Amino acid sequence: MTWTRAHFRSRRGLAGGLLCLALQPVPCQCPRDQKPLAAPNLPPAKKPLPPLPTGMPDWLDGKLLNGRRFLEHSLPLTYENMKPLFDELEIGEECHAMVEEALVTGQAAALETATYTSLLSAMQDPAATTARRERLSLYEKAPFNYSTLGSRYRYIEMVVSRTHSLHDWLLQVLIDEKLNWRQKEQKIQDGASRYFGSGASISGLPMNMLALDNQPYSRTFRARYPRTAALIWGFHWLENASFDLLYGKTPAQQKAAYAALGVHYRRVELLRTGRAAMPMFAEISPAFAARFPALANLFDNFHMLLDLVSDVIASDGMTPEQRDIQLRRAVWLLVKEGHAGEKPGGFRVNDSLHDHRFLKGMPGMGRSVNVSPELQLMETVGLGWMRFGTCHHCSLALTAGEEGWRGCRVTADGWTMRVRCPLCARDLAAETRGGAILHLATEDPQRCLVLISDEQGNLTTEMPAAVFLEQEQSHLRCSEWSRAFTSRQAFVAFTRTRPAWKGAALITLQQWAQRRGRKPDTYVKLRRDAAAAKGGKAASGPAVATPRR
Amino acid sequence: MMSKSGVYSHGSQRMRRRLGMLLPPAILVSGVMACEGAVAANLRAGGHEAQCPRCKREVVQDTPRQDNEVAIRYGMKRIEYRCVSCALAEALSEYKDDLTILAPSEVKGRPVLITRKSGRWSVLPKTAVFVGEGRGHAQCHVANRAFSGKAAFQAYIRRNAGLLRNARPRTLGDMLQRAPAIDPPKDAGKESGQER
Repeated sequence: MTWTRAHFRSRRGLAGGLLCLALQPVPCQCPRDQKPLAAPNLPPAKKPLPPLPTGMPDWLDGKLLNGRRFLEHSLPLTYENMKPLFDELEIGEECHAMVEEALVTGQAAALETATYTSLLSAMQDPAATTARRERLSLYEKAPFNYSTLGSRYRYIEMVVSRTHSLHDWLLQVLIDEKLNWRQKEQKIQDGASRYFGSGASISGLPMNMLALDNQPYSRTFRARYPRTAALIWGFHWLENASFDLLYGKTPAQQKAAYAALGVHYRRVELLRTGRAAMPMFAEISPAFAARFPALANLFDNFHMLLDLVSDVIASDGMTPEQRDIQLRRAVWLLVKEGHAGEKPGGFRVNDSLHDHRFLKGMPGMGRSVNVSPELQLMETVGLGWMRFGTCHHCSLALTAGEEGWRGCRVTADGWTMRVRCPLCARDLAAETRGGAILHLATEDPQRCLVLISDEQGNLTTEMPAAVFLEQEQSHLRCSEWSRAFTSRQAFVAFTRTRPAWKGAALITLQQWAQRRGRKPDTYVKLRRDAAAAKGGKAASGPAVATPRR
Repeated sequence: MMSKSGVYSHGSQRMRRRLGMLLPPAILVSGVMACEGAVAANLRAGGHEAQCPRCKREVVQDTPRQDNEVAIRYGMKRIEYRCVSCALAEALSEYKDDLTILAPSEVKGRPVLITRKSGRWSVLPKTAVFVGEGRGHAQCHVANRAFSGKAAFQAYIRRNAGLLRNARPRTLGDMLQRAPAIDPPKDAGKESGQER
């Protein structure tokens, strides 16, 4: 039988599912980051546990039980189109639930050893795991239909299942072939409105992740179980990456992009133990985050809640009552009822838990480690500090307003970088280790060109008739002299009507792929004072731009 | 923005304000990039002053008189490294197929080319020697460099006697033997403020 993701949507049905499959440990494929690094984040100094705030909503006592009703049956299940991605997400979700189950039932001793090996092999080989799981009958799955965490703390189960339902539903909208882009955007807005309009929903406001991750129990889980924590963050990375992976692409492009991204996820992201902070949504899906900032914030907040939950249940020295209070408080810190009347950009003096300022140029991203009001460190990709509003290659402002759709993107080494033009995208991908996905705007706002770069920079596409205009000049106008077209006819039509480009050479994809631009004359190296960047103090310092020689 | 002479006036204050950018007052545009030919095309540096993928420290940029950026050409990729030892270590561990390492020599614009083709390593010019000293990654760009010959090596050692007093010229074979032992430093990433 075919299992829909909805069967697994809630955290019920997750616990034990995979462990009981008696997975055979398989050798891990770990080209990089194989050695677990020393835990980068040690728990903060012991502080007294904060009390439960007053004015908690009823549902935090478990009074609202059906957490999924708000989106049920509103869209036909079309995820079969991208079943491998949905399977992979399901597996990740189950593994996450199993980690929580191990923590809450006192079976965490093997988390970094045998359990880790089982989970990693399941996540690195989703096809085999799915095949094994699909062989199980409903009867066999039934005994594991409720997790201890979910049954003990119903309010967590409710928030998690509702938010996972929304995530699933949004991805289904993005892959629905029957909807055009306008209908998809409308559907997404509607789904978000329904989610935020009902109870037990995570806030869509940008939050100060530094403050949230500085509770008395914070960072306990990743300090004790760094490899397992890396798996969880790797899975959260995939959840975030799924949006730009699917957004604005045809089904063929979505499949090709997922094939490339999935390999990177399994080989690198699941093993990335040295992260300074959790992966943020806008780092990997900036286009979707810029278009729907509340949803980007929602998923960042949701992942922070899951981190807080893991930290609470991994902490020693708490009585069951204290644990329950801290979990309720953690939920309260991140649900919309806890921030009623507050707005994006607003903040309370001396109350960083209500600091909703966001990164300049990216309303879908609150403050985090290595983030200042203007800059963010491109941690995984190693390209230094960046501004969200500027091209990551030539440092100039990204096209905005009516021309905003002409922006391009490069996904490489776990990061998605926004760039101004196809040349910037190509050269940036060529300077980044490993494979890459280039998302290039064409003359048609409805049709983008997706190029998949392998580890040697060879480009492939499902649109081989694409051609290019590239007359390299100063990057001040790179979005004009570097363009991609869906066909030769489109190129001719464009150059015929524009005297500046009359007689411009048509460049085929093969020729274009062999080219390499000069260093952008406009590139500015952004620097931050390393001391100021410590502990988030960077948030108050100005950015320093160092001109190139 | 075109000036009367038909040349782009990149430094225009008005344009800077419009773009909200801090453009350097004396951006070197085409003049700096005017190198031509096959080697010159290989030498074209990347657009970013990135971290070394191996040691996570800043890649020291070329200066008007000296090249510093080591690069691996792997297919269409061009990845920059801080020193030749970082590049060799990565070539052995991260890249399977044919590649070329462009290691800056004492002459600007004329790098030593280290090539791996079908698993066999070679170096051009054949007289090339290397300094490769385990001084940690803080100074790895000084203590690990390529030279076109022994004379250039000796001159470099004299200039950096404080750091490289006992250094001896190494062959490519020596460098390859030594490369796997070059681990990323424990404080990798510290320079860029990645620590919490």
